[in-house]
Amino acid sequence: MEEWVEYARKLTDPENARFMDDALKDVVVLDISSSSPSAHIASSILAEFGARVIKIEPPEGDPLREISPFGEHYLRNTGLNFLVEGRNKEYITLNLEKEEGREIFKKLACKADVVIESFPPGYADELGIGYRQLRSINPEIIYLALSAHGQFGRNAREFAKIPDSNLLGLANSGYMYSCKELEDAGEPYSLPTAPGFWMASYFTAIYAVSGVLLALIHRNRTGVSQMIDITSTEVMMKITMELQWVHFFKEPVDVGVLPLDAGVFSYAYYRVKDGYVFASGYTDDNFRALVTQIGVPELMKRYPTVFDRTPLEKQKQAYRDIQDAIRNFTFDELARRMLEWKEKGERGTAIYAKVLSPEEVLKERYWWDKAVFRRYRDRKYGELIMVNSPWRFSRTPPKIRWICKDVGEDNTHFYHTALGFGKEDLENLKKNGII
Amino acid sequence: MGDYFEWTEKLFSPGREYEKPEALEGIRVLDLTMVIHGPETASLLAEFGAEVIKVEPAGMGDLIRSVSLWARFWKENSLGAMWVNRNKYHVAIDLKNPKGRDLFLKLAEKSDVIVENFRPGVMDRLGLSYRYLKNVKPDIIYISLSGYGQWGERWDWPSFDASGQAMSGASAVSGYEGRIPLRLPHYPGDFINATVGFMCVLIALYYRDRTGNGQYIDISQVETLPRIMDSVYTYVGLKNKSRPRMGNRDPNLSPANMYRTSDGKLVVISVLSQREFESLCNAMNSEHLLDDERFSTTSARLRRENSDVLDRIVAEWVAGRTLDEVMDAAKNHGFSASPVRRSFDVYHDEHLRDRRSVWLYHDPLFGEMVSAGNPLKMSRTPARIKWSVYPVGYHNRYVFKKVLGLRDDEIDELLREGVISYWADIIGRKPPADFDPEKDPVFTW
Repeated sequence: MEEWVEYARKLTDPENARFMDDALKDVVVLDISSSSPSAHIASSILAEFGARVIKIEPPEGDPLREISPFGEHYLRNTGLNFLVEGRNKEYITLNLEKEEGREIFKKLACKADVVIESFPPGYADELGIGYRQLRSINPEIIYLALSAHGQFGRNAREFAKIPDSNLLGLANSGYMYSCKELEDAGEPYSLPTAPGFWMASYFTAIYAVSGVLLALIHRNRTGVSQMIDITSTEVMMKITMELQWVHFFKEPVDVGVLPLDAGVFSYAYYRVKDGYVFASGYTDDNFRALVTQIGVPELMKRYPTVFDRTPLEKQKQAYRDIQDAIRNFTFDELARRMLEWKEKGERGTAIYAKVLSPEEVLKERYWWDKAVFRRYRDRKYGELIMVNSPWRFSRTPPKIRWICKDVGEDNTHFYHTALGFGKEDLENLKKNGII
Repeated sequence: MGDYFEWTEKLFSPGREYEKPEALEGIRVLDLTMVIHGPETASLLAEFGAEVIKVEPAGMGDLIRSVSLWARFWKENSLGAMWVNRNKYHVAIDLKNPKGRDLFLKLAEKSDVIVENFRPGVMDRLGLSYRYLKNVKPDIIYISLSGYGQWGERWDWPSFDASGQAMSGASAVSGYEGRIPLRLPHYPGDFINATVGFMCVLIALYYRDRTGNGQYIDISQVETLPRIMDSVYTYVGLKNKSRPRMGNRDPNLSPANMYRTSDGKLVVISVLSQREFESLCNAMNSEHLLDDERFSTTSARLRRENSDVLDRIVAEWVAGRTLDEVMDAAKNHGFSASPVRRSFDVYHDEHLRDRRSVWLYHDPLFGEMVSAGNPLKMSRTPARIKWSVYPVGYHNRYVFKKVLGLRDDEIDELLREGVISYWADIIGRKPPADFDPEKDPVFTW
């Protein structure tokens, strides 16, 4: 029988993706979010899986288009953060601040499955296009609302005007507090630090898509719709495993001890001759493999069991000892020693991984072979590297059909096919500031 | 129409989760996973009502049962194991034993989803990979979670959350220039990709409901990381240069940083749109900044030299105010700000308790417990926490009788032959000392 690796490749080869079915092809999504990275990412993922996503922007465009790293790159007036999540959506404009715009929106909502919004809680309701109004005209509508502190709970009203953000979710959840170096590193290194990318916003989007799917599954079985309320704070809380500690032991937990780890040692980054590496070996056998390979087998005697190397003060010293030894190697030398160890059939495994910059990662063939990265030569945007969704489905893989579009690019075609608007209708709407 | 927030309170009716239906009722999941990446996927499915049967190796069970924060256990159980095994039924089957394999296949015939995170190829050698299972249950949804995926030149590379962070560029963009890169805590590569796994299973379930077709899903912890790194890779591709690391500064937003208040507290403030910037300027009584051409458009604000100036202006404003004053300004004017809190504060947050995000409940084994409630607040089919982890093999009788209809003598026979088993008498595997399973009708089913 053919090797599993070969079989698995044939099952999910991304080269075949575009010929395959779409999981969500019967789902219509109206995305009226504004200035919200997580909403824009969520509708992008839904569109990659085949949902028909109509991105409805105000006539001047979603302000999310205006940001770009250091304000450097704008392609057709759109910054990179909006651009990379513009996938497969249709782009129309509609002024929801005006009554006429809202009437048009309601007509669209009658025929849609999902509405996504990111207004301050209560604002859409005030405009007459919140969940309780939409469900009276379309009882099957699924309504996803993203905010900083949620649609209910004792502080919901008081905090309603605060917009959600990546930093807010990281800070408010307790996550950021655990991301800092030990005290003796000095400030700013010993202060809470956010990851250098939008971890909270992306994680929130992944949950948001899951919520839409749960609601769709339930609706298709029972005919009953619902509203989904999500905040990035609560999303990040799902991974900070410290609530139990506080509950059981009635005290704050010692976190934020980088480069050390609260659970195991060695599980850390070290400086080596040519940069930084992750080096791990925390069970006895694996720790022995590590210290022997870096030429200090005597450390096994100094730190014989996990109890001799895990507690904080002991771990600090053990880290310094490993760092002193490992700094004399390059990453390749370490990798070679790991292989020699394996070939000799010695017990235990040390694992090394080089800390690579994005520039270095882009030079590795691996990611391109697996179609994680792909270079698009787009008629409108020129040559761009895009990160594909690397989630491999044997029947319904995600796909990028187009990267993004301009503000209102699909107005004519969309309004004509969806509502029968002719040229004159559109001109009137434009004159009235509706589209 | 009545007040919005009174209406949402009724719509979501926190505290009445158990009176509402479960979205995944009737979906059966076999969970063959260990540690975090995998167990969390199945755990999320279980929170929404799927019946998740966790199949562990005999005696010692899941490896995470050995690991706890600072090696402190609660009632002899691992805090890690408690966190990612919510609402599951625990059985122990020796899959290398042909009888164990048969038992597993019988369960699979009656299941909808299989979740596994063994090294690629292991399930195939056991005859339990997708190519075998689809013959037993043609519409099965089968998801594998691994370090680098099931194929490609790195399929057999060992992987940890941290090696993934290192290899994907996630660490290198975090922290400060010239300083050791940040190994991002709490295993985000595991947790986030586990949630991607949950999302993927739901997509496949939706498709199966519509078409009757099952499928195979292969997701990789390391490969997901570049996908969630906002515009980093597209930017580096255009620029041919890596983005500098700037601590808490966000190169995509301006201002965006962590600041210190006059009472010595830390607060984050970030501004995306020009409208939000207006709110901040109003709060700072600095409307003149709106006319300053360095700050009058979003793209101007973002330019490094302008952004540096703005960052200092905000830092100075915050330094002259207490945390409460900054937060009041944010609430009144509407810009994004939050105190930098510890989990200790989060645990005591009454608003989050109202929302069942800090979820206090009675656990059948451990008594009064807490868990992070699911962040998806769904008005009709809310998630719920029923229990945290159970000992290895605890639900053997319950599952094999109820799902497979085995008789007592058949179960005893399987036990004698070592095909199925119970926990080893080792910390992390067994019930708390103050709990007697023999008195629990579920255990003795």
